[in-house]
Amino acid sequence: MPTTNQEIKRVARQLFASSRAYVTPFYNRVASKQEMKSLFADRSPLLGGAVLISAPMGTGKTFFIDQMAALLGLEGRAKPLLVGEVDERDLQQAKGEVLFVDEGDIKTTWADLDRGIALIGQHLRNSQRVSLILGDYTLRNPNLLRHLPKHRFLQTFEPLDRPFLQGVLQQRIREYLKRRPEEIIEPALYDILVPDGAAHVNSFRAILTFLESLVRTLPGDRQPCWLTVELAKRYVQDSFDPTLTTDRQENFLNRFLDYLAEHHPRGADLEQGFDQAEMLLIGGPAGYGDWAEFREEIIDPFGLQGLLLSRGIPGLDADGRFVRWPGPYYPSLMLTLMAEG
Amino acid sequence: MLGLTNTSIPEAWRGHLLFALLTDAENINDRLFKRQAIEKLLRAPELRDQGLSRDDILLRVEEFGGLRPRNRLWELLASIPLLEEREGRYCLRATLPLTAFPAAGRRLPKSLGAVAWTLAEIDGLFFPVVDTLWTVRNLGEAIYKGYGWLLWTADHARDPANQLEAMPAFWQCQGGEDAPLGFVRAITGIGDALGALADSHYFPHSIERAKNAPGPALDSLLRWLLACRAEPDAPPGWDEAARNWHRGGFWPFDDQPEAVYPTVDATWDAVLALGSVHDQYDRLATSYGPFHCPRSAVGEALLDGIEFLLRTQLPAGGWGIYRYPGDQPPVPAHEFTTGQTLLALRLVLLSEVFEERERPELRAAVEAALRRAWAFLRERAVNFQGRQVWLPFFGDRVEDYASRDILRASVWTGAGLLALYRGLPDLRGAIAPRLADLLDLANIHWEPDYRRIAEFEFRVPLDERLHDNFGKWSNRYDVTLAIFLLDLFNEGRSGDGGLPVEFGPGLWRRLERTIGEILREQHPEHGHWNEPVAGMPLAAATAMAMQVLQHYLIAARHLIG
Repeated sequence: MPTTNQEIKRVARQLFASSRAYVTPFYNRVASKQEMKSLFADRSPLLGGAVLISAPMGTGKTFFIDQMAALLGLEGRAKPLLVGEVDERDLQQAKGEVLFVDEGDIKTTWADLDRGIALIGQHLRNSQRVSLILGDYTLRNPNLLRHLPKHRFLQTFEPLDRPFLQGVLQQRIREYLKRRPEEIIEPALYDILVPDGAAHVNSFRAILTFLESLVRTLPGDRQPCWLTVELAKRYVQDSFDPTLTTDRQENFLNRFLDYLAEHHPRGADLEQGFDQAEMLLIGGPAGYGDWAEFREEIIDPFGLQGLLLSRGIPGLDADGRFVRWPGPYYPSLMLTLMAEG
Repeated sequence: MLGLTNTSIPEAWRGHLLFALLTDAENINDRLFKRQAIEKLLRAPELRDQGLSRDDILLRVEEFGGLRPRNRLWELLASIPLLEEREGRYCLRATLPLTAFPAAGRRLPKSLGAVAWTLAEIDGLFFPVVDTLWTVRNLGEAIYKGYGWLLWTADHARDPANQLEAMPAFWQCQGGEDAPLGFVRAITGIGDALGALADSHYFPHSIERAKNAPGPALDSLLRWLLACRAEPDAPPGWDEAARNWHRGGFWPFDDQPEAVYPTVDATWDAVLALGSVHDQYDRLATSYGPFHCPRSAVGEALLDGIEFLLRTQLPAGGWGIYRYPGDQPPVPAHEFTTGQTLLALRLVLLSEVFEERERPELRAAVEAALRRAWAFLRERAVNFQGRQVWLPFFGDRVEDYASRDILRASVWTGAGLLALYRGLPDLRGAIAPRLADLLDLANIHWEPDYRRIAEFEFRVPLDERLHDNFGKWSNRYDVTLAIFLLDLFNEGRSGDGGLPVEFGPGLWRRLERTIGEILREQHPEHGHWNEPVAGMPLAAATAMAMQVLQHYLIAARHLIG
C-alpha cells in the first residue's frame, strides 16, 4: 500500500529532521567510520596534531562525530569548543584525550578563525593531545593550516548523492511509519535535489528543509504521497520572494535563471560549476563590469542566502578581505527549480 | 514679529518618536531590517562591554539582511546612531541624544537640544515588559481552555478514524483543527495529560467545569498508559533476569526513541499519573463515569512502577535515565531525573496503596530510598557564591558552568528537595536552609526571558551502553522556575512554619511577568501551549503552564491572607 499524504505529513518532522533536536537513526558513512577507526586505532602518530573534517555546512559532520563519540573518547557531555570563541582557559579545561572543536567555517570572522586555530595549534604543541576539528572548506586554507603542527584530513567523508538521500529517507520511513518504504519522490525530482555534478556542495539541511516545506503544502488526505518536479516548481514559484535591492541584481537574477534553463536544465552538466569569468559573463549584460562590484552585490548576498553554492576554499584576498564564497559556483535548489518555471 | 512656540516632547510621545527616528529609512524593507538589527544590537552583551568589530556586527545582522550587499548593510547600521566607535570597535552609546539623528534637522529648537534617551529607555522600547494586568477570571479561563485541549486530544486519539494507537507527543496547529504529528505514542502525551487531568482536583480549578466530558478521555488515557508497561510488552528475547529487572518500568516510545529498555523518566511520569488516579479512583469514577480498568490493577501497576524506580536508584543515591544491572556500564545521575523521581516517590508515600495491596515493606523501602537520595544530594552540593547548589549531571566544577545553567540544574534538583522536605519531617531542619539558598539563587540570577529553553539532554539506553547521541526535551526555562518558586512559596505559607520564604516585590514582578507571557502564549481558541523550540502544541507544555497558573492562584490566597 502506498504511503499517503496524511502519513507523511504526520511524520514530516522526524522524516526530514536535519538537526540534533530530534534523534534520527544514522545511515551510511561506512567508509568514513572505517577510516576514523583506522586513524584512531593507534593515536601515537596523531598526538600533538589535528584531524580535520572539511565539508559544506549541513552535511552531517557533527552528527557523524556523535556516532563516533565512544571511539574517540568523547563520551559524556562532549560539547565541542567553537573555533571562533575558543580561548586558552577553554582549552586547558577541556576534558578527554581528544579536543573536539566545531564551526571552523564562514560563520566566523577571519580574524577569529585565525586566532582560534592558532590557539588550538599552540595548545596541541604543548599538550600533545589530539584535536578533531570540523568545518567547511575554509579549513583547507593553507593560512589556517600553517598554525596546526600536524594535520590530516578525513578523506572519505561521503558526499550527498542520490543513493545516500534515498537511503536516508527509506530508513526513516521504515523507522517512523513502521512499514516497508515506498518511494515518495519522483525520479526527476531526485535529479534536481541531488544533481550528480554537485554532490560536493549538496547539503542535507537544505534538501530536507525544502522537502519538509514541500510536504506542508500537501493536503492531509489519504492519496498516495508523490513529490514531483511540478509540485516542487509550483511551491518555489509561490514561495520564492527575495528582496532585491537594486535593478542590477534583478536583471542578473533573471538572466541567470534564463541561462540555467537554457544550458543546464534541471541542474544538469554542472560538474565544474561556474567560474568567476562565466559568472561575470552572465552578469555583464545586467550591468556588472567589475568583479569587486559583482561580488559585493551578487556573490556575497546570494551566497549568504544560500542561493549560490560555492566549492572554493574561503580565505583572504589580496586586499585582506575575507572571501567567503570563492568559485566555482553552483545554483541552489531554489534557483534550479525557479529556472524550470 | 516672530512667534515662538514652547516646544517640548510629552512623556507619552518619547517612545514613539524614538522608534520612528531609529527605524527611519527610504522604504519599508529597510525599516523592517533596521527594526530587526536594533533588536540584535541591543541583545549583544559584547556591545555593552568590550565592543565588537565591524565584521562581527555584520555577521550578526546579515542572516536577515536579505540580498543587500555588505556595504549597504553597514550604511543602514550606520544610520542607526546607537553605536559609537572606540579604537576600531563599536559599543552601544550610554545615552542617545536627539541631535545624533540627522533627521532632527539643523533648525532644532533649543528646547529640544537636550532631549536624550538612556539605554534603559531604549531597551524598554524594544523589549517591553509584558502587560501583567489580568484577573482571576482570566487565569481560570486559561486553565479551563488548557484542560479542554487535553481532553480534546484524548478524544481525537480515541476516534478510530484517526488511526492513532494512543496519544502522540506532538500536534500541529496550522489553522483549523489541530492534527497529530507522528503515529507513535509518547509517554509525555499520555502520562502528562492523564496526570494533569487527574491532579486538577488538588487545585483551585478542576476538570469538573470542562466543556468536554472527561470520563471517556480519562478511561482511554489510563488504558493507554498501562499499555506502555515494559512487562506485558517485553521483547521476545528477554530472559527471566531481564524481565525481572525491567518489571514495572514504562516504555517512553516516541519521547526517547531508540531506547531499548524502559527508562526512569518514562516511569516517574507514569507513576505520578497512576498515583493520582489510584488515590482518586472512586471520586473520578463517580463524577465522570466508570473506568474499564479496575482500581486493583492500577494499584498493582503503581507498585510495580515504584519497585522499578527503587531498583534503578543508582548506588550513590541519585537517578539517571536508566540503570544497567550490576552498574555495567555505569550511568550518570541527572538532576532532572533525580528531582522528578523524588517528587513521584514522595507523592506515593501519601497513598494508601501499600496497605491496600498489603505491601507495607515497600513503603519503608520508599522512605529509605528518599533518605539515600538526601545523602546523595547533600554530598553532591557545591558551593557557589556562598550558597549550596547543584550542577548539571551533579558535576563538581562550578567554573565550568554559566550561572543560568547552575540555576536550572539547582531548580530541577530543588523540585526533589522540596519533595524530601515535605516527605521527611525529621530532615526539615537540614533541608530548609538548602531551599533558602535556591530561593536566593533565583533572586540573584533569574532574569526572565520567556524564549529561553531549559533543555533536558538524555542518552537513551541501548543494549550494552547509552546511546552516543544526545536527545533532548525542551521546556521553558521561566516556566520551570515559576513552578518551583510558586510551589516553594505555597509550602512556606501553608506548612508548619519551618520554611520561612519571603518573596520580595522584584521576584513577584518576575513571576507575574512570566504569567503574563504564559497567558499570551496560549492559543486563544484551541487552548494549548507549545513546545518552545519547534512551537508545536504539546501536552507537557500545556500541563506545565496550567500548573503555574494553578500554583499562582493558591499563592494569591496566601497573599490575601
